[in-house]
Amino acid sequence: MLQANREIIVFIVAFFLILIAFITGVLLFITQARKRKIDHQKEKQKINEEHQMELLQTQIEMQTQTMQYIGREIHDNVGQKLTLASLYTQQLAYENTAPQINDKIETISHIINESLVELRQLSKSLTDDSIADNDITALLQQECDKVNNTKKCSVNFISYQKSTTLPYQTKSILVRIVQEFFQNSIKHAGCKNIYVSINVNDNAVLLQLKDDGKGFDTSIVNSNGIGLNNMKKRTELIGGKFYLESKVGTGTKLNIEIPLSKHQ
Amino acid sequence: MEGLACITGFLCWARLYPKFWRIFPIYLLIIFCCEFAGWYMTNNAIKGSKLMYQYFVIPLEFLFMYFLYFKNLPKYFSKITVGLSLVYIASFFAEKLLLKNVKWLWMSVSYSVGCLVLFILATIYFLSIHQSEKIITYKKEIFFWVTLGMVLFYVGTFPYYAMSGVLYKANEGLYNTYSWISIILNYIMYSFFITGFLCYRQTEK
Repeated sequence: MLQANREIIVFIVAFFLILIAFITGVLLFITQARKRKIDHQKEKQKINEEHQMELLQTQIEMQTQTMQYIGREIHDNVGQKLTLASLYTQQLAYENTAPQINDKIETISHIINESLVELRQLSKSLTDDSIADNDITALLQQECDKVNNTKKCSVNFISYQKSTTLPYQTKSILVRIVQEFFQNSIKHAGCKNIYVSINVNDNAVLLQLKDDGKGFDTSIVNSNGIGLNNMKKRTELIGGKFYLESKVGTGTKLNIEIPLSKHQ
Repeated sequence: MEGLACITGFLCWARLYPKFWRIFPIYLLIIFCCEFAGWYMTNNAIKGSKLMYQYFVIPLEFLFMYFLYFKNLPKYFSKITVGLSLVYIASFFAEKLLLKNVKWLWMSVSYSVGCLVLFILATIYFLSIHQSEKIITYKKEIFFWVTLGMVLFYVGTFPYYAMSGVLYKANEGLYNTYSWISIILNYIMYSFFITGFLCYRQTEK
């Protein structure tokens, strides 16, 4: 009887050991599942980021192509017609067929010629791919010069760029953000000075924009400002970080940090 | 607990897909009715409760579980599942017809074979989902919870059910303790069934 009792206990213990082994197996299984889930989520996030980058690339390409098409059309079509109109008006003045309206003809010719100059400039700016051709320092310098030429406010620009070449979309987005910031600072903040600095190293791009305008309450404007949201969205699309600081009466400060290894 | 699992199954009825899962609440209802009948027969000293379990309830439980494995395991395991089910059926008939008078057997052969087959199929199931993408969403699989509950119950209570007569005679104290363990494992199994139904419902949303 004692022998049977001992055998039964050994048998039960053996089965409980099997059960414990099974539970351990299930726990290992759950750990493995968690690990696989995290890997899966990371992979999904990576695919999503790559997809967003591709979309951005396509968007920029389409934008560039459309602008170049419009630029060519202005130059080849509208430009030619205006040149012809200018020639006809000059001919009218030269032939002196209606001396009483010569002054008006001169004025019309002058207006047409001015329009031609402006159209050529517009066509040139649309067809020129200055973003692809220039580095970020030159591009930002151009933007600063444009604002300085208007004499509305003074832009101080400092660049710490090493030889690192930035991808097209990064340059494009940085230029658009700077343009948007300038527009906001001049139009809404009424600033007198804007300070721009860019630091490009092998790992990241750090862009700092600052104005001495009237500033704003970020908690109110952040939720409604389409321009600010666009800047933030564009920065995040290329994996960057967007830090905006502003208080009423103290101006606005915007810092943008874009890691280079992530999208290059 | 069985009744609760059965009610949960019927509440989730419309969401159960593939449709063979709709047999599961019906199966739980049948088992619940049998358990109730067994309890009623024991309390009223009506004979036949043991026979009902031996010839209907236990074989039905094993065969239904094998059916679930047949439906849930990848296709290339179908032959193994059918083969192992036949092994169980053979052991059942062998025990009832050939080993009826053998005295050296101190445990139920068919029950032991049934549990062993279940354990093998559960191991195959866990290994197969470990290798597949289903590992990511294992919590949302009803069968994961069903298998987990079944293995815990059938392996944990195997010594108790397979040799209850011998155990009772050899050590009554241990037998009584084990009765409580088997009740707890039973509750755990049906709780896992309920979890399976509820988790599955959440995925469908």
